Amino acid sequence: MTLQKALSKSLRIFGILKRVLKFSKKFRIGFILFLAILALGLASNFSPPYYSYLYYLPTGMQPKFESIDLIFGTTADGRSVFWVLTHAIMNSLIIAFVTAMIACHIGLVFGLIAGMKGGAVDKTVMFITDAFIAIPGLPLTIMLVMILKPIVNLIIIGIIISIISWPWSSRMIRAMALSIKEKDFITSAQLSGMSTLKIIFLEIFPHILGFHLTNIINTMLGAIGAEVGLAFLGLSILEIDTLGTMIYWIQRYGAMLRNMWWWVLPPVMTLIFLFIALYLISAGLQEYLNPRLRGGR
Amino acid sequence: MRYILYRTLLLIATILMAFTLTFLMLKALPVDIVKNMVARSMAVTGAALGDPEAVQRMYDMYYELFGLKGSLLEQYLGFLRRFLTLDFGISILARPTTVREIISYRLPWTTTLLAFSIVIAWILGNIMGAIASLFEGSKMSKTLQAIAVTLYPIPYYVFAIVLTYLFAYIIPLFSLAPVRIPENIFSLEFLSAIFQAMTLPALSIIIPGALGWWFLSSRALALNILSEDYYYYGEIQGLPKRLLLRKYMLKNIMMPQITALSLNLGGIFGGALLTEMLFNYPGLGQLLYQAVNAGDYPLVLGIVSLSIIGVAVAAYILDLIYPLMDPRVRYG
Amino acid sequence: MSQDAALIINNIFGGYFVKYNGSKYVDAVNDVSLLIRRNEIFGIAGESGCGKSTLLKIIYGYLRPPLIVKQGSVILPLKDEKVSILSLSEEERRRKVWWKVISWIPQNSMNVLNPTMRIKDNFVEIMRAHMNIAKKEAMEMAIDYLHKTGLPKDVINAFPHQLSGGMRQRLVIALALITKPQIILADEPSTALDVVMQRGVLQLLANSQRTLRNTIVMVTHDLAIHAMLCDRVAIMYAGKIVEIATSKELFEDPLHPYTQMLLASLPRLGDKELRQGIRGSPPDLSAPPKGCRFHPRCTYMKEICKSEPPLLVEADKEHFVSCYLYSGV
Ligand SMILES: Nc1ncnc2c1ncn2[C@@H]1O[C@H](COP(=O)(O)OP(=O)(O)OP(=O)(O)O)[C@@H](O)[C@H]1O
Ligand SMILES: [Mg+2]
Repeated sequence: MTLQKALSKSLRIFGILKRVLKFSKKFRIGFILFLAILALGLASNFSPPYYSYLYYLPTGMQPKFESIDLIFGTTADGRSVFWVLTHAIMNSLIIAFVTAMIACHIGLVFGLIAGMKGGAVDKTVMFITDAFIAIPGLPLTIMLVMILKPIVNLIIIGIIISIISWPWSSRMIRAMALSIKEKDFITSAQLSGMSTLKIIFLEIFPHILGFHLTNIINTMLGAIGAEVGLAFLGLSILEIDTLGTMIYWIQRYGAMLRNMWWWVLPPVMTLIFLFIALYLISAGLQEYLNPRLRGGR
Repeated sequence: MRYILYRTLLLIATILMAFTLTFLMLKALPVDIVKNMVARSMAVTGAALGDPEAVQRMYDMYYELFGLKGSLLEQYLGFLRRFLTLDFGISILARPTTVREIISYRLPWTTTLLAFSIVIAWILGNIMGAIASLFEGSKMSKTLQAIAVTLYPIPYYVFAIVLTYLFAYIIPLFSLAPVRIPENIFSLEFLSAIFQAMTLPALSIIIPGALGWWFLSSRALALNILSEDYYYYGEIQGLPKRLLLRKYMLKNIMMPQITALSLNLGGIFGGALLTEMLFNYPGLGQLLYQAVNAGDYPLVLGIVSLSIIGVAVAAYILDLIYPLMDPRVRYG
Repeated sequence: MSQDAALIINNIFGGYFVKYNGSKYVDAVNDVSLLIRRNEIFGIAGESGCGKSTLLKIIYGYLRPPLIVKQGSVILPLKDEKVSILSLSEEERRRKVWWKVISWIPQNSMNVLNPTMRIKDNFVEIMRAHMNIAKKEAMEMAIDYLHKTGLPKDVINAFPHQLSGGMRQRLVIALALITKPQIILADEPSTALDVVMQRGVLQLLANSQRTLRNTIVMVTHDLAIHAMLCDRVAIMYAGKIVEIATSKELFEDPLHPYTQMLLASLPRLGDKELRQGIRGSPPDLSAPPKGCRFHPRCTYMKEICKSEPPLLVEADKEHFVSCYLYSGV
C-alpha cells in the first residue's frame, strides 16, 4: 500500500518533466538536443554485424553519401565512423547512466539521512561527504582504474566514477531536506504519528524528486567527461567504442595531424553537444525548481 | 580555533580516505599486478633475465612497495608511509631514476602552469561576470552569456582538443612537438621556449575557466548583489562607479568564489593535468600518460598520491585564508 | 511664498512597469503635488504599499527600472539657480544634487550597510565623493562628527555585523547628515526599533534639524511620530495625497474620512477596549478603483465618488483635502 503510494508519487517525475518543458526554453532546447543524440545512439541497434571488424572498409576514406557505412567516412583502421559513433554514444550513455544511478542514490540516501536526522548523524555524514569532495576526482579514478585494469568493464567504470560523484548529490539533497523539514506539512505528519521512513517516502521524497533529477543529469554530465578523461590516458576500455576511446584512437592514429576531419569532428562535436544538452536540461530544471522553493510552495 | 581543528581533521580524513580506497583495491585485486610488473620490468631492462635471485629481489621489492608483505596492519602502515612520502622506489619507465626524482623534475612545470592559469582564469572570470551584470540585457552581455553557457559544461581537455585542432593544424601558430628547453635559464631562447610551451595549455585552461565557469557563477552572484539593499544604498549615495564595482560588488563576490575555488580545485586540477598532456607540455600530465601506457605502477602511484595530497592541501589553505578575508566569518 | 520653498513637486505621475507574465503598470504615485518648505519637518503618512517610498525615489531622482516617471517635475530652488531634478542626467544628479543638497536615509536602514566595509570607510568614501577632500581629512572629520553626535568612537573601526541594529541605524542617519545637506529624506528611520532606541534615533534627527535649520521629509506610517516631530503632515492613500495640514490641525480636526479612520484606529491612553481597525483593505495599485480611490472603503461614499477623482482643495487655511465632502459638486 505504502509502496504503491510512494510509486505513484514517484511518477510525478513525468508531471515535472511536462511542466518544465512548458516553462523553460533552455530545458526544451537541451531536451530536444539530447533526444537527437540519443536517437543517434539507438541507431547502433541497426549496425551491420561487420561494424566491429577492423579493416573491413577502405581506410581513411572521406565521407561518401552512397551508403550509410560511408556517410561519415572511415577511420584509419578501416571502420565506419558512423557506426562507431552510434555505438560510442550508446556506451558512453550507459556509463553515464550507471554512474548516475549509483552515485545519485547513494547521495540521496546519505543526504536524506543527514538532513532528516540532524545532530551528530548529520555532522558525521557531512564530514565524510566533505572529505570525499576534497579528493581530486581524476587522479583517484586513474589510480583505481589502473589497478582494476585487468577486470574493467562498462559497469566497473561506472562504479569507479560514482565514488567521486556521490558527495555532490548528497550535499544538494541534504540542503533540500533541511529546507523542507521546516515546512508545516512535515510537522503535522510527525504529529499524526507517521514513522520517519513513511514521512521520508511519502512527504519528503516527492518534493525532492526534481532535485534528484537535476543531480542525475549533472552526474551524467560529469561521468561522460570523466570517461573521456580516463580514455585520454588510455585508461578506458579500449576494446569497446565510447566517445572517450574514439578520441583516444584519433590521438593514437594522429588523425588531426593527417587532417582527417571527418573522423575528428563527429565525436568532438557530439561530446560538445551532449555536454551542452545536459547542461541546458539541468539549468532549465533548476530555474523551474528554485523560484518555487523560494516562494515556499 | 574550532574551525581550524575541524578543517585539519577534514584534510587528514580526505587523504586517508583516498589512500585507503587505493589500498583496498590493491588488496581486493584478483590479478597479481606485481607479477605483471616484474615481467614488464624485465622486458624493459633485460637485466634480471635468468638470475632467479634478482627476480626474487624484485618480487620482494614490489610486494613491499605495494604493501603486500607482512600482517595486514603492517601492510597498511607501510603503504601509508610510502603514500605520504611518495616513496615508490624506482620507476620502470626511467630506470634507474627514482619516482621521487622524476616527479620533482616535472613538478615545477606543472605548478607554474596550473597556479598561473587557474588564478588568472579566476580573476578574469569574476571581474567579467561582475561587469556583465551591470549591463544585463545588453547585446554584449547576451553574447557573453551564450558563450559561457556553451563553454561551461565542456571539460578543459575537450576544449583543448578543439584548440589544438584550430591552432596547430588549421592556423599553425604553435607547434605541438615537445618544446626543447635550453639549458641557460637566463637566455632569451629560454623565455621564448617557455612561452611556446605554455601558451596553448594556459589558454585552454584560462578561456573555458574564465569565460565559462567563473563568468557564470560570478555573474549570478553579482545579479544577486544588485538587488541587495547595501548595493542600492551605495548607488543612492552617488558613489563613483569604480568604487561600487570594487568595494560593493567584487569584494562581496570574492568570498563565495574562494569557497567555490576550493571546492572545485580537484576537478580543475584533473582537467588541467590532461590538458598538459594533450599539448606535450613537459609536466606531470604528460608523465602520467607515459607512465600509464608503460604500465609503470610505481610512477603512477607516485604522481597520483602527490596530486591527491597537493590538491587537498591547497584546498585546505584556501579554506583557511577565506575567513581572514571575510569579516563576517572569523575563526570562532 | 515660494521664497522659502525647499522643494516643489508638481503633478507627479509615476509607477512600476512590470514585465512578468505579460506586463502591468503599478500606479504607485498619481498626480502628487507638494510644496515643502525650508526649515520644516514634513511628514508623509499612509498604509504600507501606498507609494511613500516610491514618491521619495522620484523626488530624489533615483529611477531604476521598473520605476518610471510618466509626467511631472521636481524643482529644487538653490541659491543661484532652480534645478529640475528629473530633467538632469543621473550623472548630473550625482554631481550636483545627491548628498550635496539632498541626502537620503533609506527604508530598512539597519540593513543597508555593506557587510564587507568598515564603518569608517563608509564615511570616508561618501565624503570623498561629495566634499572633495582627502582621505585623512575625511577620516578626522568623521571621528570628530561621531564624537559630536554622541556615538561611541570605536564603532568607526567595526564592521556592520558587529554592531546592534539601533547603532547601525544611527550610523546611517549620521551618514546622511555628515555633508550637511539642505534636505534629508528619511524613510521610516525608526521603524523596527524598540521604543527607547526609537527615541534616540528621532532625537538625533530632530537635533540636527534644529542646528542645521534644514528640511526633513519624514516618511512613516507611525502617526505618533508625526504628531511628535512634524510641522506639517501629508496623508497618502493608494498613490494619491488625500490631505495636507499642519500636524496640530490634522490631529485635532482631520477632514478626510481616511484620515479620520486612521486616527480612530490609534490606541490612546486609558483605552478600555481595542480601537477599531480600518475596515476593508488597500486597493491593488495595478488596478486602482476609478474615481476617488478610497470610495470602496468610505462610509460617506456618494455617487460621484465612483466616477470622478476629487481634487485637492484648500478647505481651511493651510489645510488641503481631496474629498467631495468639502469641495461640493
Ligand atoms: N520594484 C518594484 N517593482 C514592482 N512594484 C513595486 C516595486 N516596488 C514597489 N512596488 C509596488 O509599488 C507600490 C508602492 O510601494 P512603496 O514601496 O512605495 O510603498 P510604501 O508606501 O513605501 O510601503 P511600505 O510602508 O511598505 O514601505 C506597492 O504596491 C508595491 O507593491
Ligand atoms: Mg516604503
